[in-house]
Amino acid sequence: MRLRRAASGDRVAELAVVLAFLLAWEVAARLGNSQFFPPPSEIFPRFVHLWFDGDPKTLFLSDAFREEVVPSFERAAMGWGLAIVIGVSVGLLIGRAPRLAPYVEPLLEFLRSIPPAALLPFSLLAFGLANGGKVFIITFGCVWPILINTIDGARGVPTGLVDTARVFQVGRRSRFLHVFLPAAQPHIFAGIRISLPIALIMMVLSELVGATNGIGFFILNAERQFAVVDMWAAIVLLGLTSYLIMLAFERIERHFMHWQVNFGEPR
Amino acid sequence: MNRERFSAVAKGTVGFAVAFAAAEVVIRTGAILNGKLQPLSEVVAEATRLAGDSEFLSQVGTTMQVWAIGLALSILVGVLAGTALGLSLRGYVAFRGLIELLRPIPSVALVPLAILVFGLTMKMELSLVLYATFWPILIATSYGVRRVDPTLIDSARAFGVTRPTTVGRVILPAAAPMIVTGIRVAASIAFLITITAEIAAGTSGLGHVIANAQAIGNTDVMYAGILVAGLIGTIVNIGLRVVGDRALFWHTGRYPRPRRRGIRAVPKTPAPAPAGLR
Repeated sequence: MRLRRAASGDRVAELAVVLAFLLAWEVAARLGNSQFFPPPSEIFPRFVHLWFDGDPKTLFLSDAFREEVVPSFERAAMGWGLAIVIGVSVGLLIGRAPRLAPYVEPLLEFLRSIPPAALLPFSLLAFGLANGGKVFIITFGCVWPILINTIDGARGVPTGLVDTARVFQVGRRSRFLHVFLPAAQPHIFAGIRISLPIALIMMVLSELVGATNGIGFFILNAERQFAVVDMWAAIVLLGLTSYLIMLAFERIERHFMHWQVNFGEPR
Repeated sequence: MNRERFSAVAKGTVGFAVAFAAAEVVIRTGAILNGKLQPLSEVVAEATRLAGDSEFLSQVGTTMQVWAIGLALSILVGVLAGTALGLSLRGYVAFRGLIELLRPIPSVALVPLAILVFGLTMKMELSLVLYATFWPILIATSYGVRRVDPTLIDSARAFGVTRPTTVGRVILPAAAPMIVTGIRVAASIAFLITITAEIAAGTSGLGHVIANAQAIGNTDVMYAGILVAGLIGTIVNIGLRVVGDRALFWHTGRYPRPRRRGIRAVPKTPAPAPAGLR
């Protein structure tokens, strides 16, 4: 099938499908009367009431938003940030010593295959209900793609590049910062990009067990109290914020990577 | 085993041994999380003991059952839907918005919903696995089908091959590497989700064993269970990579598979069309 340029009808078709989906959901929910799948017409008002009920001063964000959503994303940011720091620094160290690779890789392969969920009971044991446990889970989940991709990126830097810099008597620090790092940048950013949705998933995961606040906890709590519409309102919020965060990251990534020769080309 | 492979395995073992020794020292001296970590030697011992325990093995079997069934169903539906989307440009473009909307919802967030609908049963876990694995397979399949070299399709048409036969014997085989990559990713996700569902709300399976062990204070079993989970995860990841490579040995040209040692977090995509053809 040939690829073709975007046609004007495309956007309309996209929107039509989404609307049709919402409509189908509405109809099915009303007809089927399942208590677990409320119609969008019920979810949307609840969504607005729960999250956007507040003062115009705070961007209309409600108290519930501040109490549940913000702590979640704070922890996610901490875990993700920590994962970046650890992943990139260790990854660069390992990547620059290519002889180290066969010793380290099987170990990494094993460690990254540990399901983060399996570490939830461990984090309960080690950290109790404290924030540290959740940040630990988030960091653990995020660090592997960053680490592995940074190693790949560091190893993929053509030695000729660095050698040429040396020939031109570029100092060691400058060689690293202005030649090596930018060359490894695409891979590093790829790893960071991959780890972002993982961070959000880990954020919710860490709140399924042993949490007292957070959006994941809110969803779980709503389920326990059979507050089904509330639960859906939180799920929608989660999906929406995930989507927006990914979008924002793509913008930031483009800012850093626009000078790369291959960036943005269709894969 | 040739010398290269042997040396790789040996070095890997050395790496494990060094890490193991370092961990033993750190844990026994209590440098990190004093008293709360269990020495690895004890964990390995317990895991070995569990490997002979039929009750434990049956729980692991339950987990793998859910994993296998969920994955198989997902492959069936996902490849079908992905092919349909891949073949119809209008269909793909129309559904793209819906897919982008639904995809960001993490399946973890749907665990409570699944519990509501299915209770604490295997169906709950299965439904989550299906939801989570459907997207990577769908997207990979549609991507692979769309990117099939148009020359292949045109050649088939020139030979008078009917459309259905073209799909079955030209397009799908050409898209196979991408589809296999999607299945690999999905298999990995399926295992993660199964364990997650079992830990969050399971009444059986390896995840449940781990969570239960922690709840009743049986930290031996908990740690050993985590180790086993990691081992199974590794087998799933590497195993499917090897099986995938073998299964696609017949694929020519645009699926180069150089013997590269090394782990890949980002699945390799087939090489883009050579510059002259674009």
